[in-house]
Amino acid sequence: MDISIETYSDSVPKYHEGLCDDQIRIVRDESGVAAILADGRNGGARASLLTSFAAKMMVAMRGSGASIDRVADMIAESQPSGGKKGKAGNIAFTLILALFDGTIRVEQFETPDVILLRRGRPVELQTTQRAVQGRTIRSGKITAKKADMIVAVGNGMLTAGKNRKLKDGWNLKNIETYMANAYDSRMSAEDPVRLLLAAGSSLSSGKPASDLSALAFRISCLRAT
Amino acid sequence: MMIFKTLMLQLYKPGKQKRDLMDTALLRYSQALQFLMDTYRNEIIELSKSETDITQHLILKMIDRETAKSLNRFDIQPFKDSLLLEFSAVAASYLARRQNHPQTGYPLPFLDAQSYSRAMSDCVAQFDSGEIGPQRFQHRSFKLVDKAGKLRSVYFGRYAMNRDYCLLYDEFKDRFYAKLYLMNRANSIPGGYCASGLSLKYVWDGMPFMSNLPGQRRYIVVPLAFGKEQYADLKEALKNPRLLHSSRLVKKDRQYYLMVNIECRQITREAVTTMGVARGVHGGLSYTICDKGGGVRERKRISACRKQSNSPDLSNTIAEIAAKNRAQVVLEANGGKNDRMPVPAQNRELCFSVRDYLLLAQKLKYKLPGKGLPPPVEVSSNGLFLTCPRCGTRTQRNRVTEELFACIHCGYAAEFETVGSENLAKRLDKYHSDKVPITVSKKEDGFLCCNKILGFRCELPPDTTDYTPMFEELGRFIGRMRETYIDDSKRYAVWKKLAQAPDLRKSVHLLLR
Repeated sequence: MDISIETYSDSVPKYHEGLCDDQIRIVRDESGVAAILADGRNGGARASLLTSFAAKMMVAMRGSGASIDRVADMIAESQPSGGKKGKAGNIAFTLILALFDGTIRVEQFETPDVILLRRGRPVELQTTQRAVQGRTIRSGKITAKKADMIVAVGNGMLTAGKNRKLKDGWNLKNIETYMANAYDSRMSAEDPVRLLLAAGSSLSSGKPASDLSALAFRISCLRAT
Repeated sequence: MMIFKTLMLQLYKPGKQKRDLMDTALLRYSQALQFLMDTYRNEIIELSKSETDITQHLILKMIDRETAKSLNRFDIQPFKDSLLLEFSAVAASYLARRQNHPQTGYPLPFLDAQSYSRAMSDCVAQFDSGEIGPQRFQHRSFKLVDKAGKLRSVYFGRYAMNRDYCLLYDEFKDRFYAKLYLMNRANSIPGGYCASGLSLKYVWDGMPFMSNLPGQRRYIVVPLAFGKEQYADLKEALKNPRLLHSSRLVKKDRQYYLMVNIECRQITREAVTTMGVARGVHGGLSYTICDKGGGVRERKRISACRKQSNSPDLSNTIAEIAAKNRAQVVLEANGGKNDRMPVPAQNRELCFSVRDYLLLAQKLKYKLPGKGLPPPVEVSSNGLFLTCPRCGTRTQRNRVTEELFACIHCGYAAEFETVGSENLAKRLDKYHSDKVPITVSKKEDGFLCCNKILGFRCELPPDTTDYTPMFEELGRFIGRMRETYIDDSKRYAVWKKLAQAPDLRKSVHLLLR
């Protein structure tokens, strides 16, 4: 099966900060499209450097033909030790590789689970876990189907509704429901990203407390072989 | 709409004779009213079985000449008209209440000792025979005990110089007095020259002096005591005595008061903000105040639960907030029916019902003008809680959870609590910015431009690119409509929008088909 892959990503920086610490890179080659969403956690110069470094590492390694799990391992291994989970000095990332033969691989480290919409319905992505230098990486593999949509968000997105009077907040489950509600068969990859960033920004009253970032893959089939 | 407020003026230290006269008047008035209620009991109960609305006028017509004449034995000639008016009002309100609550008891304006013991023994007999249960018995007996011997206030139906009541003013002492007609000719009291040095003028057009000649008098004159606010209102009444209307003589804790209904001057200030007031998801109400441009200025919940809202009154709170922000209040029409408010199961009992909201809207219709604000605007509430305040998209899919709203078109997200009121606050701006659609469809011999609501049609030649002739024709059409009466409210709204538009091109949206 040959597929066409459309991708889109965007970020909204933390309020009163010009630069976004979250880094998103999309690399397209003859085999498929790879993307990284590197989350700078609680911000700061160190996080910014680490996310840039992770993104560049992914671009360089994919260029040299390294597999996606190898890229994930390398990024995890290259992180400086001493950074505590959830604190500055440590980054989180989501790596997505979509090949034109229909294989999609996802590698994640401390980021919210990716949302997979199959014909507009949320489908759970089965993942396995492996430890790399004491850090747990979640990886999953699926075969793409027509009109699949994969959406990844940074950790900042989940903190968007924390100042609102919401019992459950803007959690991953709510984001998934929202994406399913907003799904349209004519939707482009840009639409879910635009909607998520607008919703996150709106819930933060236009003053996000941390960087908001989203990445979307939209799969459409060209022909079945 | 006229707005009234009641001034509570104390009758300042009346002498023994005046007190006796007032007590007698109060007693006779109460007895006469009870007499009327007893006389027409059967007729009124019969009327309560009919399904048509009974007006006060109809009840007044029921009183025959003989009964009216028999009222004279109570010596209530000075306030007979007022008494009849009050009787019809009491009966009409009883009938109206009985339509919704069939258990409503027949009114008892006054219970003397005899009537009290008779009513009490009836009540006990009904309880003994099992006709009424213990709860009903308790309720009735408490009510009887409460009513026993309580005097009804005397109603003065009009403000007049030589009957009912009027106010007097001594400009040298800057004091106000009340002149109350309490006696009939037979019971009139002798009056001589007044040597108190008072120079009393009627609070009436032209401020005529009160005659001080000796002779029989059917009235008493009592000085009034009041606070600063009442003083300001009375000063206003001096300038315009027509503001004064009916009043009541009330006895409360051995003190006598005159409750005067005074008309408030309506000074409407221009609203600079809009305030949307919607039913709250978690009970009570929520409101949003928006600037003219649509920017949110304030967003809050007013009361946490319905029980709180029933005590004093939420309409006062809303009126105060609106006055503070000089806001045009926008409410849900029809009490918020079909607003699709998502109510969590645990909050169902706390939420404002459609009936509560309707009552609130009714109160705000006179409370807001009382604060110098325009009356509230009621707009359609269809799908209010499913409509995006930013882009106007209305769909069930905007509901993420019971508490979270997120628009699937523009990404606006907020708690449901605020969505309703924000939509209302922005609705007027939206109405103003909405353009009137004119459909342009292609025909064999050219283009046809039409608007069904207005009934406007204009044909343009084929291959036309300039719509100027159509706009000119539309301008003439709007001008012609100015001279005709427009019965259809929708049509009137569209016409008004175009008639007030400085530039028709900017107010019209062409739909090409």
